[in-house]
Amino acid sequence: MRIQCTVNGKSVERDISPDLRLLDFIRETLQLTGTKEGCGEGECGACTVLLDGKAVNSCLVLAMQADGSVIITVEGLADGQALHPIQEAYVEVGAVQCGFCTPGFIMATYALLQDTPDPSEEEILAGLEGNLCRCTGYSKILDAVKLAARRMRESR
Amino acid sequence: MNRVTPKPLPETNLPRLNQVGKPLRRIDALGKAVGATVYAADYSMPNMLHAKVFRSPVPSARIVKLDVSKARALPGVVCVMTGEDTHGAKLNTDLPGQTGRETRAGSDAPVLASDVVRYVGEPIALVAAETLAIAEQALKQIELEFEDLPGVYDPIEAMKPGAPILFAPDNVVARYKIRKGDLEAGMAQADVIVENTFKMPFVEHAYLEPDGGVAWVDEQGVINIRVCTQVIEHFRSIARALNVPQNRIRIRGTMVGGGFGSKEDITVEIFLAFLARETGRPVKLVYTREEAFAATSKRHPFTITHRTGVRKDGRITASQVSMVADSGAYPYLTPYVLLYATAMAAGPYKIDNLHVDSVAAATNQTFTSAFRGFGGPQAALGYEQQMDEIAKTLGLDPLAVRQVNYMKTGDTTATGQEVKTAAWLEETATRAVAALGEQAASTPTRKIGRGMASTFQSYGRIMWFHDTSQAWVGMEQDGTAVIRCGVPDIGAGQSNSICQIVAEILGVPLDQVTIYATDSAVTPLAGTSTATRQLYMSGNAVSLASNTIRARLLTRAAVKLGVRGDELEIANSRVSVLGDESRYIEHKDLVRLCASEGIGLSHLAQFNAPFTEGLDPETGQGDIWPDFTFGAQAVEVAVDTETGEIELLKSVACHDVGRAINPAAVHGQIAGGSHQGLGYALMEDFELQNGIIKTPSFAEYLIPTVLDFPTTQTIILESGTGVGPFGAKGIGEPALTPAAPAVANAVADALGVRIHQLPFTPKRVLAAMDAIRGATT
Amino acid sequence: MRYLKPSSVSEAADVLESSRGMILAGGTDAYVYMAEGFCHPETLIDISSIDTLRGIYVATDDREEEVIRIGACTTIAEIAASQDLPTCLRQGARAVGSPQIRNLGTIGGNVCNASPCGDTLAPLLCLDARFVLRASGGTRVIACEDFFTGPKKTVLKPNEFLEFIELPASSCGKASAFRMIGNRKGQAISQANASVSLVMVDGRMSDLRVAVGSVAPVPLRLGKLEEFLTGKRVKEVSLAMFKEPILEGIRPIDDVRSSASYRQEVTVALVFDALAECASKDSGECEGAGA
Repeated sequence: MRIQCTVNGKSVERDISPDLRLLDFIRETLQLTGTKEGCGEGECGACTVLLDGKAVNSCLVLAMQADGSVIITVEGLADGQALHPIQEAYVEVGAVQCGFCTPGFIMATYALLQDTPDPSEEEILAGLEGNLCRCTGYSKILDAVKLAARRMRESR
Repeated sequence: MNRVTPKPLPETNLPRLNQVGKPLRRIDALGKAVGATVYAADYSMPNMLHAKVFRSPVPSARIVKLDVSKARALPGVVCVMTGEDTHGAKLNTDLPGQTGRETRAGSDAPVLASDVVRYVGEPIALVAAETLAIAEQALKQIELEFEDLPGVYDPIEAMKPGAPILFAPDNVVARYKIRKGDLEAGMAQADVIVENTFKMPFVEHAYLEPDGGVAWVDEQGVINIRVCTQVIEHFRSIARALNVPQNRIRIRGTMVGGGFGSKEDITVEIFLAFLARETGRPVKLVYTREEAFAATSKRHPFTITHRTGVRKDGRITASQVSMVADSGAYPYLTPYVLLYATAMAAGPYKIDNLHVDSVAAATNQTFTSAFRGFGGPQAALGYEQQMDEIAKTLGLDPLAVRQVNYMKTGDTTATGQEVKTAAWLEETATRAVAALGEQAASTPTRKIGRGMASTFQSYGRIMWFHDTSQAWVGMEQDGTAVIRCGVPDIGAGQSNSICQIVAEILGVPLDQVTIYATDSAVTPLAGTSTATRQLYMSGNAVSLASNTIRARLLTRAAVKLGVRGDELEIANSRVSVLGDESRYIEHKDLVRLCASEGIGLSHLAQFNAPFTEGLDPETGQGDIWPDFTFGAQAVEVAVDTETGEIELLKSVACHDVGRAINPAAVHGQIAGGSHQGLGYALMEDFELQNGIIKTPSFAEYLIPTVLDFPTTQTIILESGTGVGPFGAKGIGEPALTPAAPAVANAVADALGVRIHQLPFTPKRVLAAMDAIRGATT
Repeated sequence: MRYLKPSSVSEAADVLESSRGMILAGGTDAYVYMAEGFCHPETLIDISSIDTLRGIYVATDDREEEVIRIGACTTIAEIAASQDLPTCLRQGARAVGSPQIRNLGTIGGNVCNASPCGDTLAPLLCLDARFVLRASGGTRVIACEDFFTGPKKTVLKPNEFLEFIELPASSCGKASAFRMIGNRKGQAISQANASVSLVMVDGRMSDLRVAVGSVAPVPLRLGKLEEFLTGKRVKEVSLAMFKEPILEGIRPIDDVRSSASYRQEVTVALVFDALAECASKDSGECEGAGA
């Protein structure tokens, strides 16, 4: 089947099998391997991408369901060599350990701060509920989200 | 617990450093944050095949018939291998990584089971096909006929006469004893004898990155395996299994998406090696989450009984500990895990009269092996819960009882090993407890409780393994530095710490240091990223290598600048005269100068840990590890008496890390280790029922989300006394150990009664409360 | 596998009639089932982008009564955020999965999947929801309490799909609350949940509905408890008093997430808690769709 969508600002068109998951379309067809597969059933959040502005588990979406959609993956955040403020914050505070959950967390943070630029502690926790991390105890991740939120507000 | 003030710290004399000790941006963080880091599953090659593993659906059976002909005939299937095709090859699963010394427990697991299967998930056949979908389809075409055999699902049952035998002659995989002092005489001096039994479940590592890799045969005939592993030295075991020379297997480690001990065992790499050799094509194998749960090791369930003689003032006069561990279907690292638990069974306490008896037995369950702490967390759940029970029996404050018994520098451990570095038990415990602040008030349906735990944990491997690490450090002509060191980076910042050490010693900024790591063919072998050993071992190895280069740079610069070597400082990519910054030579000029004169500016160094020859088998006495890390955790919980839910309110961990090479990374290690320990206490339970896995995925096996616990406040102390570089101790495993017993003690404090089995689920809490109500009515 | 994306409800109904395929909305459950091999649909009929299946608005039902209508493909996130829906339904939606799941998952999916632990089921039951089922031959309406027949089983015929959920307009005037106890705080799956709706008249409970989930093969109304509580003041009742009517009504099981005995014990606490929250409010606080 033919799929047309916009991925990280670029229009892409491919012929794909109808049973291809969005995650495999991103990782295998488009070779954007920054998006990770941690469980394949929507429990861990490592495959989080933005689909038409909403954070979703790309392992639970058929690629064909994204036909005509706008998709943003972790590769789409940096502006050339300049990191996105969220990525900058994760790197700066030490929120990245093994890094396998990091792209998913960064995308969940992106969705959170897009909808809630000045999130309360509770809103941050709720926004990251769908992402598992086994290394950090979430402590530095929360620091990173707060730092990114502050910087993004200040630069607005 | 009573209010405490932090014990003043002894004077330390830590040198002021430029890069070490600073929370610099980790060298690995950028690639991970933009999605550029190429993890094992992210790698593909032209003409690559996709593999799947066919596994046992039952825990104990004889294979009557295995028919793979339909799978082989499926279009797109290139290769199906069974135990016949691997020629009955076995894996020496109990050989822990490198070192020339093999201390074998004598058990091998078949690469592919062909006669009997001993646990659900045991591999039986391999498929390689043109696409993953075809490989998956082929699995369904494999026909397996089996005859159920009686199984055994409890280690105590496994040791009874008549039990099905997994491990000849009696299922006992390992047994140890410690005999120190005079137990009966010690018990006779006691005012009270306290006895308790504690139980812990199987636990899953739950690293986020499922095991995976790609293998291919290169133009020299070398089998290359690109895999996420904690141990690149497994190339030797793989060579043995394939019956090829060791120099024909190359492991190219990747950035590891979490290991925690699970990727210490061989996982996908052995299957990949067989398939790549058989097909002559690149092959990729990535486990599903369910497979990563079923096919890899777990933390050992333990049952631990403490019988402790104490005087009224809290002084322990004698201690008797027994431990039973479940090894699952194959030994893997069980003999060593049990040894760790045995040697740490009595905790960081000075106990002169001690008996420990421990045993591990095989069952038809998922095999157990290394997991962050390696027996230490189970031991701590025994001794630290027992300390609180002693305090309760005597009516003393839990911290006070510990303070009476804490070991000090110069005291000996259970095995008679002298503690030679700082033993900051009071320093860490008082800080953790004090940082809890004011206690919340209980209400009739919400009981508040507090608990703490003091623990010790070794860093560095067992010394009779004769552990070594090599590292090569060199300077390029532009003054940048290169490190070649076979250290696997499992996310704890192993490679970054090594770079930060080299940056410090050679006086170059961190971003001008590049490391090539974790390749068994081209990076000098640095040993396993296990046992909290890389900072200690490879940190010391790169220190040796870079100090050699530094000395050469300073010697040449001294001549050039006309001063003595000790009048120079090295920083910011230049060597300058102390006190006169105008007189300097830049690294790039110095390197060229040295090159033109034939002065070599690269060096391969080897660091050897102390070598010993093992414990006395009769008494269990002797030295085991290079050193210990001491730490404590304190927590406050609220227990809902109507729902049995436990809410963690506060958590503080304090560890003496010797010297924090990168404090941000150390905080991350402690906070993350703490969360794993908190999950262990409150929710994690890899449940099996008659060998069948009841928690096969993240939907059933629960680990903490961001909502479950508050973050752990981390307090870093630096005694500067460790045996690692710059006086560092290890923190990877020690970070986890005190969390679970601290929670156990807080829950017991809140309820007024102890739940003797982890995890403390709401159901168990309500059952415990029902028992109290039953007892009082 | 065939993937079809009909652009209207009638086209979807026709395609379903002819193919007997599987209806796909958010996909959050469908993929897990497919991945785990529970189902192997030959045809997937994706209804998630049919506009008329999305949204919350006021309409008139087949009985000419004013109702709040919810399109089956309205996402769980939209339900949770809506100011036009009763509290208990929003709370139930908020309890589903994670933000990523709630962005994909739909109320229709939660209902038609009919998992005993589905968090919107008890709220819909206690709000007297009715389901409009669509087939190529037309529609039929069925009350929520008649819809579920067992775990993952409903009265839906192979040629039918859920088009709308309708709530009585009066449900916005009621006070309601949902409570659940999960196996952890984040991404929790209910071990038990309870939903209550009522109107306080002179400080006494009336028009009371109590529904519980995850404690029987289907979500249950607790009629005996409702009877017992009706007309009483909240202060008059205690936890112990309604233990019996609750335990009589529910049939929990042991599974990996919980045990029957624990589910019994906490259901009582959950109902009590939900009731207490309702009683603390005089009336409903939702705006009512389109109002």
